[in-house]
Amino acid sequence: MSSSMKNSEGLRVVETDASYDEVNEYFYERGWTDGLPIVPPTESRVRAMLGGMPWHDADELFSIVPPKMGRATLCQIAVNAVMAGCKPEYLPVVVAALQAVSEPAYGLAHRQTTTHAGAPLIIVNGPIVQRLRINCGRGVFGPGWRANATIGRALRLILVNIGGAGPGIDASQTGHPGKYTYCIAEYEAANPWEPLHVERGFQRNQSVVTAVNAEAPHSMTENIQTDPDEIMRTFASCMATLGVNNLYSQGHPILVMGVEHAQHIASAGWSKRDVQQALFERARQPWGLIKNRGKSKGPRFPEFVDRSDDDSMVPIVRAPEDLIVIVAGGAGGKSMFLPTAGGQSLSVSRIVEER
Amino acid sequence: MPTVTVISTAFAPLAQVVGAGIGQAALPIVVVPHPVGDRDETVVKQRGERIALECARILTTEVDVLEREFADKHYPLPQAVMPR
Repeated sequence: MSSSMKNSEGLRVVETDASYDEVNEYFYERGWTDGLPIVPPTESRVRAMLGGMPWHDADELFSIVPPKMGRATLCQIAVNAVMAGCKPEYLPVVVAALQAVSEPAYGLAHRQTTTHAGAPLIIVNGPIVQRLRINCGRGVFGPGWRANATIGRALRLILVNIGGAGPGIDASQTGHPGKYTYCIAEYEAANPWEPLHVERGFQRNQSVVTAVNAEAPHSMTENIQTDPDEIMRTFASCMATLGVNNLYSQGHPILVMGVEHAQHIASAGWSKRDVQQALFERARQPWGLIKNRGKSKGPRFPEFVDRSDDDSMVPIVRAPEDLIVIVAGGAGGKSMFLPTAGGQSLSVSRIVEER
Repeated sequence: MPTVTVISTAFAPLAQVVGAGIGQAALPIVVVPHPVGDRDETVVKQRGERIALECARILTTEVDVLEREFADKHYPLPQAVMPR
């Protein structure tokens, strides 16, 4: 690297004749990457990225990111979006995701420094899903889709570079692969019920990001049963396993329902609320079994749990609507369960700004 | 209010970043072995007494002396947490 100067907008620009490989080594050695090669954030690329939200100034502040309490200006967000490989049109989604995790209910300071494995899952709803080609179908959590891969990665790089939660500071005991990128969309066209953002009071034609700090997806196979009651039995057994944080401190765990399961259940006349109610009632364990294991029990149990009665049943959510239910994925008899940290980190939805 | 932060080796670099983030770059940190717990109560008691003595030292030391001591202190993570 050679000389450093400020351009006409006051942004610090470094002049260099270093090669792509040399820039990548330089960034990696300073802990500015996720370990994968980055796209060098040249001045022209950052300017182009800022073109994704031209109605905001580059120095506009969107968040203060813990634990370093770094200033996430639009310019700094754009730098990380470039590094992640985003297109400029993805920038509003990255910004909305950052705004969502910055809401107090999400508890970002704790999420950035906890031993828990969780990563911010970004769920996108609304017309922007088709426009940006965010995968919601087959392989929804997998590779091959630029928007999914780079939007989630941009948020991770922001949390590392602006928030300071890189290796050595991020205290996650194991982490999980979603810490590289964790961005999906809901398959609204295959959803027999109202999509997540509509359930939360937004208009169907609004684009919305929901951020939830989630563990890795766990596959729940039910290729045999098509009766909703039996499918619920499989799901409930999988969800309320000992050691799952939600059993001890509830919160907003996520059911990513496969399209075939959703069709079976809806065709039997069940609503999404019926699914949430059934799992609220069945995904439970007795207090006597969990009281001396797992983790500390926060003050988040529903009032009906009687701690003087070992047979009192403890649910994984405080109320049916706290279980996030979305429909996504391809053909097959599988749905996914994503546990979360518990009630100390809740999901947050934010509108994606578009003009 | 005079305060002292007690943290185990596995989390000391994190405590330093959090301190700096809230404008306390020279936060006095008492670093203790990780994990501080042990099956032997006597061992835990001995560790607790050493920690209490160090807390007392920090709480009775002048601020400018503490700033010099802790401003640029480096807290390497133990091998058990982060292989090098």
